[in-house]
Amino acid sequence: MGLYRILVGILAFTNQALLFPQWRTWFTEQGFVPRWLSERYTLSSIDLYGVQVPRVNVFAWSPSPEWTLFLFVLSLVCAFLMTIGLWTRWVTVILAVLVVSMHHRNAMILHGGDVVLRLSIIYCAMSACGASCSVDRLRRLWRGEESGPPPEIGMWPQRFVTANLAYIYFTTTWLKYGGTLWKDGTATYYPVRLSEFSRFWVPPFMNELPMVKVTTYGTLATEFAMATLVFYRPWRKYALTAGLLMHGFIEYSMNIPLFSFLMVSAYVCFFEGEEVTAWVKRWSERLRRFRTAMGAGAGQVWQPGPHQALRAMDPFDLVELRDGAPEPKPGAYAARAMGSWWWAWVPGLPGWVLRRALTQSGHA
Amino acid sequence: MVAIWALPQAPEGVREKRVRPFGSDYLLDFTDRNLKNQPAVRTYMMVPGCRQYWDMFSPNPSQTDVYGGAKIRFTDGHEMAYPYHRIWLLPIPQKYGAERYRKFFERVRRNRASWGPFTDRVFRWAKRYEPGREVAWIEIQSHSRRIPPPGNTVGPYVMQPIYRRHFRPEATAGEGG
Repeated sequence: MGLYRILVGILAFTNQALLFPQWRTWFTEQGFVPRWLSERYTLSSIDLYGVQVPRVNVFAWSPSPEWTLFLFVLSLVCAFLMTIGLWTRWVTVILAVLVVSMHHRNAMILHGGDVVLRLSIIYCAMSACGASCSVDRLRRLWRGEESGPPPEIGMWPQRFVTANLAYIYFTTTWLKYGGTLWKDGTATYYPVRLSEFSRFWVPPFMNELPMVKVTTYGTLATEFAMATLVFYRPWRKYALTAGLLMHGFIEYSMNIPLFSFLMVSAYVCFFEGEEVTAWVKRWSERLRRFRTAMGAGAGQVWQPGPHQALRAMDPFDLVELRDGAPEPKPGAYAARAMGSWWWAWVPGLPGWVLRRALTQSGHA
Repeated sequence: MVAIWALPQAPEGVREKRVRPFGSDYLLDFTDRNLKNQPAVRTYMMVPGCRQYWDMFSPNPSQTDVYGGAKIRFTDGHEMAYPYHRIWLLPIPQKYGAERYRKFFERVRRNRASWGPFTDRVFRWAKRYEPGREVAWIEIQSHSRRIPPPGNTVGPYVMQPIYRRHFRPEATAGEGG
């Protein structure tokens, strides 16, 4: 879930950043969709046995553009913090509320990708997704509040994500089964001819009838496999590869922002923590020629908490931290410790972090 | 409940009781009538944003290529087009962000209530862009073309006015539009 949280966080941030230049256009009274229209398009409250239950929408608290702008900026900040995993539980809950509110404020601009994003953030908010691959964990390790591998957490949110993804593929296959164009093998001929969807150049043979039949029936087979065979471990990698190819082609040829990325990001949830750990270990062995040992410096030792935090940022185990001479090499650490890449580019920061992790010999 | 909500609707004939259900239609008809309309289920799904429905490119992908726009007529007879984003004409990096305009117009075409606010927005833009001119009317226009089956040539776009709103009725009196 930690890896999934990072992927969803990056996509949520990208989505909000893409929407940011248009916040006045879509979310204010001066835009195309004033509040009364939005409430007419999607109900602002639901009738529960005579009681009107308002739908989650913090945008409705004030119609002022300043409030809308504040919520937008807040959503960007929360998406960034969710990605790095700082105050994870709080920021994912706040981001979920903001994204749901945004969707309730203006549902007229939403596409399938938005629904996937909303549900993904809700699933992250319900899970302990900050338990690993997060600044929260590094802080706990650094302070000595936690040690060893990440704590074991309940699997049900991860199972929810996979079940939901399979359900998306299942229902869309079911709906397509009722369509004449999917049955006669010509369905994929049409979307690539819609100029408003077009993106990069597609080779002409992809639009010839034999290939159209292959892609049409291939899409149905892939979607059905992603709803069924993906849960059978020996066939999982084939179903996931077919899904990656399908979404890769959609992303390349059609302009549906972030949809394919969001669907594919959930594929990581089909793998359990032990499988990811084993995969990392295998790669660690393959990368062993890049391993290096780094000293703490003469008369210096690594403090136990920071030592664990620094090792946690090095998933492939490429830097061995030793007490005593020689001096630490921040560049060598930053280049190998993948978990530090997002912050290590800041000039001087790796050196500062390593210095803070040290103490005089005899004071550890 | 998420699963129930995302199930497809029963076929139209079954919903209207014109056709006898067959196979899975029984299940879909049952969920339509007895579960999706349950106030508690509906509230649980709709209030916190848990609803979902997956009909992308189904049951059939769209066979109509559509883009939108608006025409502005000023009282002095000058006319201009409102620069509503057309995805086809945008450079690739901009296409990604502007996709919302395509989706929005797809819904505007079918949603009569949105036509007024759409023209309001265009009117405010026209007042800023041409401060010295009075807007006579604004017309929302849909440009569409049908994609024929494989082997046939795609025809030209056909412009269809969706809605025309007069801002200065006296200025266009006798115009017949």
